[in-house]
Amino acid sequence: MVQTQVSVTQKETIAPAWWRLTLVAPELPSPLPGQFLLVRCADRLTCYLRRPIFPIPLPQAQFTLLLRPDPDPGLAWLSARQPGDTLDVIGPLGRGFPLPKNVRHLLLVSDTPAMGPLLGQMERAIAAGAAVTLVLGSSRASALYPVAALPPAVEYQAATLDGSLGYRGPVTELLPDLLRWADMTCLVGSTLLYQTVRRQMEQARLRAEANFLYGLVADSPLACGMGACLSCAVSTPNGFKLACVEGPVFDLTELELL
Amino acid sequence: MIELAPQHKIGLSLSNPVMIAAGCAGYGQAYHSLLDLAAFGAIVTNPITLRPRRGPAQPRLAETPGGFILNTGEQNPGVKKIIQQAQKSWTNLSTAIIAHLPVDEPDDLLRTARALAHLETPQGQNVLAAIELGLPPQAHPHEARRWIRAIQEGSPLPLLVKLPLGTPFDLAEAVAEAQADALVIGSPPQGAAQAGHGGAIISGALYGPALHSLALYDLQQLKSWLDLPIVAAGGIHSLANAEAFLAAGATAIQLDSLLFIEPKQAESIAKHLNSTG
Repeated sequence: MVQTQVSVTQKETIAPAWWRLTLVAPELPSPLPGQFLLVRCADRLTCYLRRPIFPIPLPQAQFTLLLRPDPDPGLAWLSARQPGDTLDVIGPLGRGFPLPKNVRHLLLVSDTPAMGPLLGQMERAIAAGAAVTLVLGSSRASALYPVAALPPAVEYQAATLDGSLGYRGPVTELLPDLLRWADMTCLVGSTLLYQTVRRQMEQARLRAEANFLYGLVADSPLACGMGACLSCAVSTPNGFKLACVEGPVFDLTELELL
Repeated sequence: MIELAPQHKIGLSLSNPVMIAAGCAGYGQAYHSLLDLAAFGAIVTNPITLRPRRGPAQPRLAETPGGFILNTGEQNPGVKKIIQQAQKSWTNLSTAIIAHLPVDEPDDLLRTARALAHLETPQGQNVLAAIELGLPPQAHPHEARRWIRAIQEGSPLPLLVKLPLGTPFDLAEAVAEAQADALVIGSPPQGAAQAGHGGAIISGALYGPALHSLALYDLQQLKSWLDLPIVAAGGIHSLANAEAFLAAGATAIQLDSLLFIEPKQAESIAKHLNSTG
């Protein structure tokens, strides 16, 4: 773990209001998908706390960030960065998604545009020779990660509530068969998604299977990243766990999903 | 070297006047993979109570302009488990460890202090350097005396008492008369803020650079009232802030939320004041 400067080398618009920032980070240890960095954004009056960002690892000490318009002043500032700008980051922090060697069928599911951590896990699993199915859900097509930006090796399914792309309805309605197909499932999204998929897993696989269903807990603030401030406590049957050091990726059978 | 407990039989001499405040470095090990913790004179632990405290559900944090509100409800797994988890790292750290005890029933405080004070290294030395008692806002002098007496009965270690910012004279005087070895000024004030857009309003401790002026004012007051070593804590965000506390008569200082936002700057302040101290 280091505190270091990283440089923006490229900014691409991959679809309307979807940006991809490429950064070079020579001193940063390579992050795992799901691990995070704390980045200094704007000034300390508007953004006193660093913001957690989820790097998508690339070879040669580079990573990308997926950015969208955001009401948070820190993330809005980040979206305005241009090639040549530098960022002050601390990381990598926390625990990312695991990928055991025996995983041959990986299911990735999200109901949020902030699904960047799944892209890193997708690339990693494809490189390891696993079959990957990515299932994304949203209210409408424009809030779904652009399909043209996905690699051909991934099997892609989409669900929109208004029917503007893919299946019309909640993303979870696409999952029962896939949960039987998969060796492991990774989620990024809402507590409602985690609750629903955990219930579906128990029906599809006849039990609450450990080491099968992982979710990135993104609704707890990741303020210090070091297990010091206790702002990110996540409820479990055995007391609180700290998302910043014991997560933010958790085996969802270990959490109380309230 | 500085001495924070000159009247105490064991004393509390630190190699560096820069400490890390309670709540800002876990039980000592939180920043070990990023910072050189030996650069700090002491680390004050997160709260330790006799029984586990679960703390509140989310949301616990709300950012404010230039700071934040944090409410952890003194979450901790209880003294027994903390000792199991942290004793080894306390023994191995070359920095002094000070255990922070929030107020509790006097008997519980006594038992907590006793459990901590009896920890020894394989060489027979005390694992902990001191205990810091954190007084709540609006603590009464008679309550403060009972809490201090309870800890003193349970522990022979030097005792620092952390006062709320804005502490009135009668409370400070009661703490001094109860033979606290040093005062820490002070605990962050209470505030409230909305957690995110349209989120719940949470109440808790307010952190940020504005605390420096509050603590500096209190430091000047206390120096004129009492003749005890004082540790100044609150809102240090620059070397100049730290030096202002020392120039105003603080024997030592505690860094707080700077650790969260600029940990390397915190380390650099400690290293600078070590080399010039």
